[in-house]
Amino acid sequence: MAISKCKGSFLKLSIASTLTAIPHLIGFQHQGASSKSFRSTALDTVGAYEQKEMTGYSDAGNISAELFYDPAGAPHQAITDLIKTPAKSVWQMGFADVGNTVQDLSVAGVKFGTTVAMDDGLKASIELELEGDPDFPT
Amino acid sequence: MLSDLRTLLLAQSPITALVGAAGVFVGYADQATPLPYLTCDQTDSEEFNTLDGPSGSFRMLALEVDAKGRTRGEAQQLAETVRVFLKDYFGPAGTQVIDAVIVDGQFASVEPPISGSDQKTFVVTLELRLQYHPQ
Repeated sequence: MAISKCKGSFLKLSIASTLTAIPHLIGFQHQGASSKSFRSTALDTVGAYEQKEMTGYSDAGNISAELFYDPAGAPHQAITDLIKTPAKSVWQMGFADVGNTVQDLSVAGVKFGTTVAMDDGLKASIELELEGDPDFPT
Repeated sequence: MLSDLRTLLLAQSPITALVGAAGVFVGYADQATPLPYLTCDQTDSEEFNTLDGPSGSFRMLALEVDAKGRTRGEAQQLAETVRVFLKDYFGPAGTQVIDAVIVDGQFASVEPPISGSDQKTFVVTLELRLQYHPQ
């Protein structure tokens, strides 16, 4: 098992059917992916602990990212275009591990915000709501 | 960037009218340098790094510019001349291009006379942050 660096990791967005790297990413997180369960505790359950069963469904979670924002740059405009004209989009998340592992993603919702601070570069934060299979490596 | 800042300051006639054609120094001036003059030095930096870009493609340098004079008034006049020029400056500076200058603070101090002299050195220090994309 290796410990990987992060520099060189990327997010790509499919623009005109071509996966295009989102430039100036500072960092990103994939969070909230989970398999779903329901409480199956009944009055006649033996023991003190709650019982759970799987629903058979999983949630792919979401990706949040921070980047230095270029309002005039085409890749960043393509992200806000998904809000101007809501549509599902194809993304790819890639790591800088030895195998350059990638995950192909489908995104069903996009959130976007900007931060302007005197002693910092112009930044944006994005949140991508994943749908379907997040394509974990196996 | 410090030498580029020196080049920029020496290109400003209000500044050279006070310090002469060469009265801006990086780090320190020689002991015999006549007052008034300016020194510039870097105290810190912030590197705005990204996952994809080369390191240091966008930087912010913390600088101190010392205006030194024979009297407090002379040092203050020199510091104010520099402050007024730099506070909103963006554009070419030597081989680089300055994106923004932020004036963080200003304070005064006095340096004792150099051996064999009665002349104190009055100093007004400008604390600046300078943002640029290294060329």
